[in-house]
Amino acid sequence: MRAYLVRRILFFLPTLFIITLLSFLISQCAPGDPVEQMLTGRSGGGEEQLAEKQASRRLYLEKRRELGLDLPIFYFSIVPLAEPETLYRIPFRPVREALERLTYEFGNWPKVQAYYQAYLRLDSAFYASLGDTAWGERQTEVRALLTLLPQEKRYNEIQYLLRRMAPLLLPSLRPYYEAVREAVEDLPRTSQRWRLYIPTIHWHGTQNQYHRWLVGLIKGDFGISYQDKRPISEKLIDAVKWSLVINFVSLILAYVVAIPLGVLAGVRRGSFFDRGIGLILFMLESLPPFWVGTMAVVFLCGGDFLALFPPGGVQSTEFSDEWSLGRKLLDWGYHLTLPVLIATYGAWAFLSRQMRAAILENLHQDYVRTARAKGLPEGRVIWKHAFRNSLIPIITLLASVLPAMISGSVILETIFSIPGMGYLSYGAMTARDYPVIIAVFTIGAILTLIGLLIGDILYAVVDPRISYARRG
Amino acid sequence: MHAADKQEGVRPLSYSPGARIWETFKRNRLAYAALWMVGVLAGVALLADFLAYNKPIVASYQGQLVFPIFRDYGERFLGLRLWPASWRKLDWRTLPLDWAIWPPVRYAPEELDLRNAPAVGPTEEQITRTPAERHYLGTDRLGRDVLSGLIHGTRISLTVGIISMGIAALIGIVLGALAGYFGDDRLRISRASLWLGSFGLLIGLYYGFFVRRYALAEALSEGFLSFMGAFGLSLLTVALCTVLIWLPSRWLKRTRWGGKPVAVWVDFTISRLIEIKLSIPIMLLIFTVAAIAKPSLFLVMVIIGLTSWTGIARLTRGEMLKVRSMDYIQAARALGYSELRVAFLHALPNALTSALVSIAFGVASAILVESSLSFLGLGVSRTTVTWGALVAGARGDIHAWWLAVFPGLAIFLVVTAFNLIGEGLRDAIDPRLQAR
Repeated sequence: MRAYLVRRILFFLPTLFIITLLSFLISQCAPGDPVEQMLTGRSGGGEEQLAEKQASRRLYLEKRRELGLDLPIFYFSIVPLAEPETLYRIPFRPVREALERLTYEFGNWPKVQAYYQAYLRLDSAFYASLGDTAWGERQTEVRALLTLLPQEKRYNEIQYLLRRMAPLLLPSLRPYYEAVREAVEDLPRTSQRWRLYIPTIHWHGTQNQYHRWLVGLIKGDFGISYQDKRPISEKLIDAVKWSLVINFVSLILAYVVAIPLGVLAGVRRGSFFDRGIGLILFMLESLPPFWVGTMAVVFLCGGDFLALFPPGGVQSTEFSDEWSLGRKLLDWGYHLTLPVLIATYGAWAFLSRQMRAAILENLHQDYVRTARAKGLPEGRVIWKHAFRNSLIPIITLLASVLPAMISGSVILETIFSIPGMGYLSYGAMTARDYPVIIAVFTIGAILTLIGLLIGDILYAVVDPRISYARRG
Repeated sequence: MHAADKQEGVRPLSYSPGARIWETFKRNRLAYAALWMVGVLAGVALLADFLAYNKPIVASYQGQLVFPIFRDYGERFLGLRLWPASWRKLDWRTLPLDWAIWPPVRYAPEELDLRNAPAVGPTEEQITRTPAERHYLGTDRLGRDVLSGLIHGTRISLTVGIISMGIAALIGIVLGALAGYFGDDRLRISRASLWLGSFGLLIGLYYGFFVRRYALAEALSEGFLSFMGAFGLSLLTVALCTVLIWLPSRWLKRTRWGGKPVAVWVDFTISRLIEIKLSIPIMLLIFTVAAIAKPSLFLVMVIIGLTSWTGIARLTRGEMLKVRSMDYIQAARALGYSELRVAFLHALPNALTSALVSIAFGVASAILVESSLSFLGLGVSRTTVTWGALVAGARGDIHAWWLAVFPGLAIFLVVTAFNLIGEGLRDAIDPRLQAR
């Protein structure tokens, strides 16, 4: 069995690795430039002058270095020969993506780079000439065109932007403009598409974004929320206690109700009780929690019908820390009864069905027949003998109930406005606060994984009948 | 099944297992009723426009016989221009029609009825021209007819359920069949084939998906058909690369190194894949992806499909493990058919029935997931009316009980129906229960 445990734990590590990879990959797909998200509200925007432009660029680069976004993404990269390994160094995500797309179209990075550098020279020449009175009204339009140009991925559009810019420019900028135009025209002439079809591998070492993110994760640092610029770990700690309370109470409630139901249904197999309970639990399982939650709010929480419970929140508005513990508990209980019940009912069906199957299996075992044969009362046979043995698989099911509770709380906490993990991540989803979404997903996934591991270990420890020689 | 054969000796020998399952299934009245209900709902989904639309089915207008719904179909699906420009903006409900046959509900699902705008209930007073234009189940915040939304929402729910499970079934059945049939020992290929084949696959993935990633992303944003086209081209590239690089193994096989047969651990690999998949919290993953990507019906179906194949794969694998040692499979192998042919043409058909159970339950849970996503506003785009989005309306206005009750009831009924079908199928297929 020890070999099984070792193998099980060894298998845990690669799975954990794959899950961190998955969440990192998803976080990379989040749209927008993270640095700009962090700087929102600070950059001047609009009609920047040369000094402001340089200042905001410096700020951007500084922030980028601070967040580690100037590093390569992973330990190694596989890219076509056409793509330089240093592409990640280019700041401003839309620009980087546009240049990458151009490289993928023409397979000739040096020429794309030449175009970008010519553009940069034109750009700084433009900002240097801002004081010139000859510009007049045209300045705004040229500024807009110059902002759009490096972000444009399609070749035709680049040419179109350049043509629109040409008549507007001051004569002093002409040579810079011509350089850009020539570089652009060079692109299709010097196309080297074959270079796209030769894969190359680059090794970056541990100085990369994934490594940094992983190390942060281990230290409990999930980055900073876009919404309020607070560290995510702080927000999570505030939120997690409510989720824990609800899930813990509902887990206990699930077992306390489901186990007797399952045992009774199994003992009286085929009776009216068995079939009735089976049908009711089956219907309960088909009830979508978000519907039950909404119905409860509409009919029980002070709409046009009953007002038995508060429509949301975790405590009354007049709640104060000076209340006695009993009063506090009462207030919390009053607010959390409905969410806990709704978080629980789905697990009843699943758990009691498993309990019923387990007790049925044990009732057919020889040892139960022996117990009956030696004249023990039926109650004792069931509760002291069969029940104890059939509890084993049910306890280990804890591991598989856990993940559903973690994800289910997104819906419940949203409906009842409970400031837990689910509510936090829903708020992040609507506000496009990607670091928070990713953090919640990562934690949820790791918790699930640990739950499964504990479940498997428990199962192996308590049930020595099972041979693990061939599994693992 | 053998036990059942002996018991029911009266039955003719030609009685196939499929027919027997069907007979048992029919005897389960609840499950049979559920099957009928799904049939009726499928009918509602197909004929949604004839049940709820803002134009009549047939009408006589200015002495002319018109079929407005069919004209709209012609414009939408065939790209024809059938409406005179002056007729295009008409509100048919206000026209002086000579006579007309209307759909039972005279509103399109996304149509705003501003006179009954902020959520009017079915029992409350409504401002309508004729009693036939009543909103039978009320309106939502924007004045959209709830019954019409329910009828058209059937389409979305069933489409999501069926297509996402189609994707899941394809992946699950293929992987499960491979794992169960080949196990860790039956697929023995030469070392040259193994190495060259895997290398070719990697190269193929590079050219098919990595190099083409921008083309694929663009096609995805253009729509379903162009994505399928681009995706197919990628798959073709992968297959071509793999075969091209694998080809030299035919000669390498004759060498000492390359000719040595090795067993491919098909079952081990696929089982590990399933385990990894099982340890990811799927709902959370779906919420996360839906929050990051641009919401669309297609994306929702693809994510659900890609994340719910494990149940099907496990059941198929289990069945295939039983089937693979049966005599008729040995016979087929002895005849010299290729292993793949035996696996998919001979063994798989007998292992498929149990996957059906998982598919039925899967459709139920896919519909549940889609409606949860819509409820949170993460699913299909916000202007589309879906059952989950209608329920969400009751969250904004807790007096609008009809928004919670009716769409929720629809979700509950569909989910229960598919669960009952799954349950019925399981009972019909499980031979232990038959012997009871």
